[in-house]
Amino acid sequence: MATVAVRRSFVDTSSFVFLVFLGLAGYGLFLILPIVLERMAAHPGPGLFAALVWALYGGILLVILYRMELFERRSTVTIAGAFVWGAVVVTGIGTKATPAMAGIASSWLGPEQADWVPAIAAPLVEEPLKLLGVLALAMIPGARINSALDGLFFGMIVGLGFEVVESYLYTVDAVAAQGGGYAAVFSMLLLRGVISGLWTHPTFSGISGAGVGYYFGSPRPRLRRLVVASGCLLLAIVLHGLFNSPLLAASPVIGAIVKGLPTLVVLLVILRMARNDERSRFDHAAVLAIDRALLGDGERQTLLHRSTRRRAVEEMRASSGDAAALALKELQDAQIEMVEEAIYDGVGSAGFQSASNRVRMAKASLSDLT
Amino acid sequence: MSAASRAVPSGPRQLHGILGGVLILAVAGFYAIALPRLEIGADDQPLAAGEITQFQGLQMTFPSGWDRIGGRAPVTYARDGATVQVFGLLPSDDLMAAIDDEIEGMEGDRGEFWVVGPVRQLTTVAGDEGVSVQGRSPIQVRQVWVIAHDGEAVIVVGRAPESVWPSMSDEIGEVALSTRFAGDG
Repeated sequence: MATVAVRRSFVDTSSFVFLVFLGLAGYGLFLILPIVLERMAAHPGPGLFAALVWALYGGILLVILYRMELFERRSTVTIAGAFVWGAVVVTGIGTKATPAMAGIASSWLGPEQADWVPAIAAPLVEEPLKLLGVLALAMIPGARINSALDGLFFGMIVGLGFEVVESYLYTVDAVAAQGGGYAAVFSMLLLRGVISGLWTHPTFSGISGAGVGYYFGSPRPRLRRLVVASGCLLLAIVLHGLFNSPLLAASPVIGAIVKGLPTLVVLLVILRMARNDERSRFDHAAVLAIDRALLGDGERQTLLHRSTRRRAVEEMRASSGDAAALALKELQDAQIEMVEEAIYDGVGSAGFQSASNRVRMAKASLSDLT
Repeated sequence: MSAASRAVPSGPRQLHGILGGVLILAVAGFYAIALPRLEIGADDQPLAAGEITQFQGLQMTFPSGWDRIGGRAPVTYARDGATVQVFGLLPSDDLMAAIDDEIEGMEGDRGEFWVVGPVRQLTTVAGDEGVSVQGRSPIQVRQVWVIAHDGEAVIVVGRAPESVWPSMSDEIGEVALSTRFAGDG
C-alpha cells in the first residue's frame, strides 16, 4: 500500500501560500522591529522589563488556550506561525494602514465626529488582517483547519500575537510619558492585559476565525458558508468598533468592561456551537469508520467530553491504581488520534494505521493492569 | 475504500496554491500599499511650490510635492504619507478650550494609546496667536495647532506615520505657521 507523508504542521515548502506567509512575516518584521527596538532603546531597563512581562503574559495565555482543546492538541509549530502572523504581520502592515484609514475616516466624519475615527479605522484594518492569517493557514492542508473550532482557536492565537506586541508598544510609550519608571508597566498590564485583555483582540479574531474554519470544514453549500464567514468577520469588526467607540469614555475601566462583555458573550456562544459541531463530527466519524473492537460505543461516548474522559481516568485510578489510570489516559489519547486521523487523512492513511496500532497496544496494556 | 471511510467527512479543502497565495498577497498589498495611497484620490490637485491655497478666507503656503485631496471638508493636503487637515473657521477665540478638546480626544482614544506632550504657545508668520500640542502613538504622530484671529479660530492637524514624521515635521510646522486669515495684513 503506497503511503503519503502526512504534513502535521503548516510548514510546507511546496505550498505557495506558505511561501507567501513567510514573505509577509519577513516584511512585517522589517516594518515593526525598528519601532520595537527604538522604543526599547529609549528606556532600556523598563523596556526590557515590559518585553518580559508581555512575553510571559502571552506565554501563559498560549498555554491556557492550548490545554483547552477539545480533542487532539494542535501542532505547536502551526500555533507559533499563527502567533507570529499577529505579532509581526498585522502590527507591521498596521503601521502603514491604520494611519491611512484614520485619515480617510476623519475626512468622511468631519471634526464633530472625530471621536468615532478609532471606532472605524482600527477595526477595518486590524480585523481583516488578522483574518488573513487564519485564511492563509486554512489554505495550507498541514495546518489542519477544518472546522469552526479550528478556526476559532487559530483566530485567538493570531489575536493574542497582535495583542502582545501592540500592548508592549503602548506600555513603553506609557513608560516614556511617565519619565522612565517601572510603574507604567504594571498599570498597562492591568489595563490592557486584565481589564481589556479578555475581550479584545484574541476574542475578535476568534470570532472571525470561526467563520473561516466553518467555510473550510462545513459540508453546507458554498454560498451559505461564505455568508457565515463574512458575517463572522463583520461581527468582529462591529464588536471591535463598539469597544473603540467614545461611548462611556468618561470611565475607561467601566467602559472597557461594559463594551467588552458583548464580545465575550458572542465568543462563548460561538465556542459552544463550534464544540457541539466538533463533537458531532467526531461521533459521526467514529461510528462510521472505526472498528468496534478498537472503540466501543461506551468508550466513544466517554471521549466526547473532556470532563467524562477525566472522570473515567479518575475512576480507573480509584479502582485499579495509578498505572491503570495512566494506561487508560494513553488509550483515550490513542483513540482520539485514530478518529482524528480518519477524519483528516482517511482510514487508509499511514497515520490512521499507526494510531490504530497504538490503540491495540494501549488496550493490551490496560487489560494487563485491570 | 470502504463505505465507512467514504462516509467520513473529507479532509481540508486543498486550496493551497497560486490562487490562494495571490489572494493573500492582494489583500496584504491593499493594506500596505494601496490604502496609504487612497488618501490621494482621483480629485487630488498637485500644488506648486509656494502655492498659496485658499479656503474660507484662510491662506496657507505649501512647499513643493503636496497634493490637495478631493474637494470635501475638512480640507486635506498630503505628501509622502503625511497629511495636513484644515478644519474650517470656528467661532471661538478661546485657544485653550479648543486645544483641551483635542487633547481630550486623543486621551480618550480607545483605538490607540496617545502620549500627549505639553501645550506650547506660538505666533504665526502673520502675527496671529496660537497654541499647539503633539500626540505620539506607537505608529503615528499627530500635532494640532489652534490659531485664533478676531474671535475666529482654525484647527490645523498634521499627521504622519511614526517612520515619516521626522522628515516631514518641519514642513508641516511651516505650513501651519503660514496660516493667514482674511483680516491679516
